[in-house]
Amino acid sequence: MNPFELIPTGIEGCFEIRPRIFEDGRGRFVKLFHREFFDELGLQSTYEEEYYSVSPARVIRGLHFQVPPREHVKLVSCVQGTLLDVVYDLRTGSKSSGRVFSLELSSEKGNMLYVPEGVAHGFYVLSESATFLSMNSKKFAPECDRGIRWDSIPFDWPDKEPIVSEKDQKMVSLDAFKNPF
Amino acid sequence: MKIADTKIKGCYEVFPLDLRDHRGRFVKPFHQDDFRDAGLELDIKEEYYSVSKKNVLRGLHFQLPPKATIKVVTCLDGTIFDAVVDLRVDSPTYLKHFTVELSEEKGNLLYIPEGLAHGFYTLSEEATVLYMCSEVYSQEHDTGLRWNSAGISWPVMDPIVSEKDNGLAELEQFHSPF
Repeated sequence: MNPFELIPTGIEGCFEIRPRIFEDGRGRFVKLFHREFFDELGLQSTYEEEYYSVSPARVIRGLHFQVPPREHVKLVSCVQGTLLDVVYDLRTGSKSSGRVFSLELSSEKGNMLYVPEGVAHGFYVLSESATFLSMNSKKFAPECDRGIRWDSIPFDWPDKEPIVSEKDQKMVSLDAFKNPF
Repeated sequence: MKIADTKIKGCYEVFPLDLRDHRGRFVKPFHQDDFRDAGLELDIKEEYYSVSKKNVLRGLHFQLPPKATIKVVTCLDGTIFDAVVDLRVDSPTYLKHFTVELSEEKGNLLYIPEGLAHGFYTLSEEATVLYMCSEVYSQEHDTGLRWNSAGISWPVMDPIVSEKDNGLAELEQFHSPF
């Protein structure tokens, strides 16, 4: 039986993934990815790059994505702490075009979000500190790396004055973005 | 990314890109081209993490051929004492072991080729260890060696070990297929 449970999010092709978690007296064991089971579910099963970030409370990172030809799938999770993960569907032809979805990712739940190509992604740190892990189907490509400003999507962030990098704060707003998706 | 030799052939300590600013850190433990350029093969077929309490020892684990796996391990939270044992009969470092501290603070990784047994001991209150593997778990090939049978100087000799790990064969009874 496939150990990964897929939960629809309202965004086409975007799923919350709940893995099977094993716990015993020593601690826990969480499987994030398994090529054959991902293939079975029709999910991306090759990942060229992986990174993690460690951020204190109230940090927002995002909203990020890569444009064609280096658009990528992201498999994201929170391996320490809790964060509010937020995605926005940029795909003009999608049934959920222009829609936002958010959910809490936490090390406690061990849940993940599968973010398809053409969907902008960001998060806000709810716990004192959070470690965010992202597996990406394609490598970082500076010429295709893009973003839109976090406060330009129709989403009510829990914080009006979050900690944001200068780069993220200066991103174009959704209205001004030339959308290739 | 920088890589450093260990005393085990084909096993490397890797220091990935690690950027720090007022928002925290950004670390890239895997980049296919950088790995390839450094001569490190890795096509990730499986990935998992474990969270362990202080004093927990997990290991020594490996998978037998044809499901032998490369493992790249790193500590995302806390600090561990990481250990590998070379089981490759033709290797110049056959039966030798190597240990290294992996920590969140350092962000270092250990690249473990096929044919090595791997285990770790948790030094911090809690530790989260991430594993990137070139092969998926296979119950019939999954095996290991008893943690205290390979000559490793563990920080303690009475760690918390699962019943399964305590029941693993000793190194001297093991006939290596590698």
